[in-house]
Amino acid sequence: MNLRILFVILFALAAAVGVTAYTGDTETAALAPLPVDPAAGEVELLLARPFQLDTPAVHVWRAEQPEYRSGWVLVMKVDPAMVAPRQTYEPVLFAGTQTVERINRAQLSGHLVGILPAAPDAELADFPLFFGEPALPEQVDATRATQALATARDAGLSVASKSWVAERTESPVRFRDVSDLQLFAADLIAEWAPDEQELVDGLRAPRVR
Amino acid sequence: MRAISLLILCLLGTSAQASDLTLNGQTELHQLMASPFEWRVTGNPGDPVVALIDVAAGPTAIFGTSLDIGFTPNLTVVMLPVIPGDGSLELSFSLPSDPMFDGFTLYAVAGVMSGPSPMSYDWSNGASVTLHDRDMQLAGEELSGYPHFEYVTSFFEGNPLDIAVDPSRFPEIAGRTGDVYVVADKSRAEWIADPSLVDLTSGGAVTLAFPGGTLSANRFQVDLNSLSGDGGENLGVPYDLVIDLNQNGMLDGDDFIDGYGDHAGLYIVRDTTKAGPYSVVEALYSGGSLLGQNLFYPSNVASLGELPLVVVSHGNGHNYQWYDHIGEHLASYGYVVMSHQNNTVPGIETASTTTLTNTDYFLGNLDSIEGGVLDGHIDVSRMMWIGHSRGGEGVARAYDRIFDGTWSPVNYTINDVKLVSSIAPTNFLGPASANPHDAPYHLWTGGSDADVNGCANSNIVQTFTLLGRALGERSSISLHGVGHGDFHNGGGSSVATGPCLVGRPNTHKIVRGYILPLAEHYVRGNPAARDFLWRQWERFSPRGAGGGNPCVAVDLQHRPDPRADTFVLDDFQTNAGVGLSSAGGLVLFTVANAQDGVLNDPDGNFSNDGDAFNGFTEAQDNGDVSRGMVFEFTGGGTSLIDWGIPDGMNDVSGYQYLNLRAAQATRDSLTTAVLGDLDFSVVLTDGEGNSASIPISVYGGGIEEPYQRSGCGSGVGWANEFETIRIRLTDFTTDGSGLDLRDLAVVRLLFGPGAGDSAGRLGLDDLAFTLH
Repeated sequence: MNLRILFVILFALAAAVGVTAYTGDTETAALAPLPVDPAAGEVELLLARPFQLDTPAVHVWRAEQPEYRSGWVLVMKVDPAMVAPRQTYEPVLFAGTQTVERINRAQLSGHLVGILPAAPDAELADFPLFFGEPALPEQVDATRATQALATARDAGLSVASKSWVAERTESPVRFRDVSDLQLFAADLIAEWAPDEQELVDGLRAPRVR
Repeated sequence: MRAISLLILCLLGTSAQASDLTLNGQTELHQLMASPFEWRVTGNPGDPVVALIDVAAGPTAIFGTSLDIGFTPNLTVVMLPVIPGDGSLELSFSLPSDPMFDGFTLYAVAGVMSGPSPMSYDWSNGASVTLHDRDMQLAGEELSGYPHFEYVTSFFEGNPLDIAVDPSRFPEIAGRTGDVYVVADKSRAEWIADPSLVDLTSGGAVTLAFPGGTLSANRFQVDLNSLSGDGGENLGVPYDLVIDLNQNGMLDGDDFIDGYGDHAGLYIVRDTTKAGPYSVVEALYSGGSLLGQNLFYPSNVASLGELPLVVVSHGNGHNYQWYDHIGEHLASYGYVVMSHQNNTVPGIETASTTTLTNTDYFLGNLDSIEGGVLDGHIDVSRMMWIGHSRGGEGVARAYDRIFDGTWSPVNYTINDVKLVSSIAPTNFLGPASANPHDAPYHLWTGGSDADVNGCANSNIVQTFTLLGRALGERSSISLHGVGHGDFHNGGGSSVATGPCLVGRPNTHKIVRGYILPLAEHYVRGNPAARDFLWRQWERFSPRGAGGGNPCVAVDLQHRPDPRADTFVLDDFQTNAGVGLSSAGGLVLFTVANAQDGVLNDPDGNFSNDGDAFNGFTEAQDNGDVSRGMVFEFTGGGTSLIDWGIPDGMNDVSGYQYLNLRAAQATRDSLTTAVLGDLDFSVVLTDGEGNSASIPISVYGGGIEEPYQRSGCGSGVGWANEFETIRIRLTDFTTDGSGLDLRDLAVVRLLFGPGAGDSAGRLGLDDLAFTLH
């Protein structure tokens, strides 16, 4: 038997085994390592839409769980490593001393859609975006948020100018409630992170009447 | 009254006698009806004997003494023959057989008439006999060694069905010929109403001759593979098994039956990885913010009455549309499955809130969801929560919040949650907040998980901690080679690391094969499911769940509720130190380095660096109290641990099983020297010194070696995984071992040559006798 025939046979056997066998190999952990210095992960504002809610919502992404009626829907460019889903602690996304509610994964696109609760007269330029230390957002209170901002500033957090922010801010939108706000966020995800169509479909699921 | 008089006459047969009275050698006899029965009375030879029999125990002060009999209006007095020359009158006959006598107790004393009046009689002790329905274990599978046969509940369709009768327990079988019927299951009342026998095997009833002697000589195959396991939406088809000893086609006399009561003798089950009988409708809808739900239900739900509800809470970065493999499978068996949007990114508290709110939303809007097709078709009292990862901790937290009174559900109560099940759960909140308390609890964990990875370096990733906190009935399944992402069907990475990975499609086969019996047991209370939760996977697992795949290794734990029908001999939770069991008995041992303590690896890695509890992750660094024992044996002879049964607790004959759980110690040189299932023997000894020994490997497998994954310190081997070992107590009496389960003195675990593997290091816990 010449080598070519032998190889053909071996290849065929391997292929046959491959049909029925189990992976049987070792895969390195698919999770990216937790960033050592979260503050190093820059967050770039791509789009901001001020919003108002007729019915207030609760911001459960921080310990105090404040009600809010206004804020911004943001589209941000982020380092995918910073938002890679993991079950352990993840870097917390802040805007100033407020936590940002992340709506999508952004793991492939790097485009993250979020909700930033804020007072109606607030200036978005006063809310620099940055990743803080890994934590559960629901456990972040005002003290921890203030510390996180100070740490970020010490690390050289850059603050966008008002004009730069204004260039990316579009017209305000008004919603009946947070459900409609999330539907609007779904539209932004469909536009900016089209790989997350399944999430969009889930957010757009037909309402029970 | 007439029935009692008849029973008393049957009991006496021709007559009886005094001084020392025993019934089958006992003073408190429990006996199947129609069984052989022997009176024995001792006294002075030549003295006549009188027997007093009644339906109450006494004692009664009379004749200048105290007699252990009630002296009710039912009292019957019977004259017996005189004491023969050897001073012992022995009378043998059969107990009566009539369903009306089930549970009936008769009390007797005997008076040896050694004087002219009752005042001068030599009165015996009291003795009693309680009659029971003629119901015994017959169906099972052959074992390769002692006890030669395992009486089991469930058999896979297409497999042979065997029976065995141990003549040492049922001497009346010896020399008899009977027709063996496998019949449709009947309740006790149905048997009484219709005792006719109709065999369902393709070959018809089998005529067998039982020669007596050993159990093995009385073991037969009664069906090759013809019995149907198609139970429709129910797992398994129930059957009863009868040996018709008088060959009259009826259940009567001293016929043998497995399944006489309101339970089946056996179940034939289908491959649980296969879909059930119903086509499934899937729906996606939302009730508003964080109320997105993915629903699965049988298309013919309108004709199915009220169905159990399974609520699925996904993990962080996951999606509520990623659990079709669970939804489709369970719905095809008549469950309604609702997977919901879970707010996991903020944390566990918010995740638990979405579990709670989605469950309430669903139950409160049945008239609207899917046009109201489920309205009136949900049995809210049979509900299961299953969560993945952060969602796995979330469901435990949700239960905890209701338990603690900080959340009040509107449309259900805490008692409606029949099972909390966590897939690879995190442990952020600790024992004060992430705690299943008394809920029936279940854990899934993957040995290759690269996210909630189980390493000792973080409390958050130790999946076993929630299980360790569960106080009630609990179970777990550990899957070697399975990663975090393998449990959902969202695609992408398996989030797995380690050797011999199983992969998502094959993991889902195992999930389907196991989750059906899991739900059937906890939610529907289906006895056909029980064997799936504890029998060694190597011996009993669904064919489609990885049989023949060298990478599939599964470890099962199942512990019945220790607060019900259980005698906990040692769970190490009380009486610190290994010299005294938690039941209060002495513990003697010759194994080395025996130590009890909290099941927590304290140093943040699995390196073999001298930690007594290295590799154990069932308790976190502080606050958890789950305890166990570790020890080792090193060859050069046998070594042992003996648990003495405390006085007054020696009668274990009312329990069915001896249970324990054990785990090999990861990375220990005694573990790594020979990687494989570890074997040892369990030896029971009674007060007279009679004993019987059974190696655990005879039931298949043994204590699995740790998954051979590296990381988390130096060396190879992942977290220690407990496995349940359950041995039917009557197995120890096989072939007339002489062991008296009414007088158990010592439970011994025996290690080393002749008893099992020659060396090893083990953790041990939950040594108990259980009824179910």
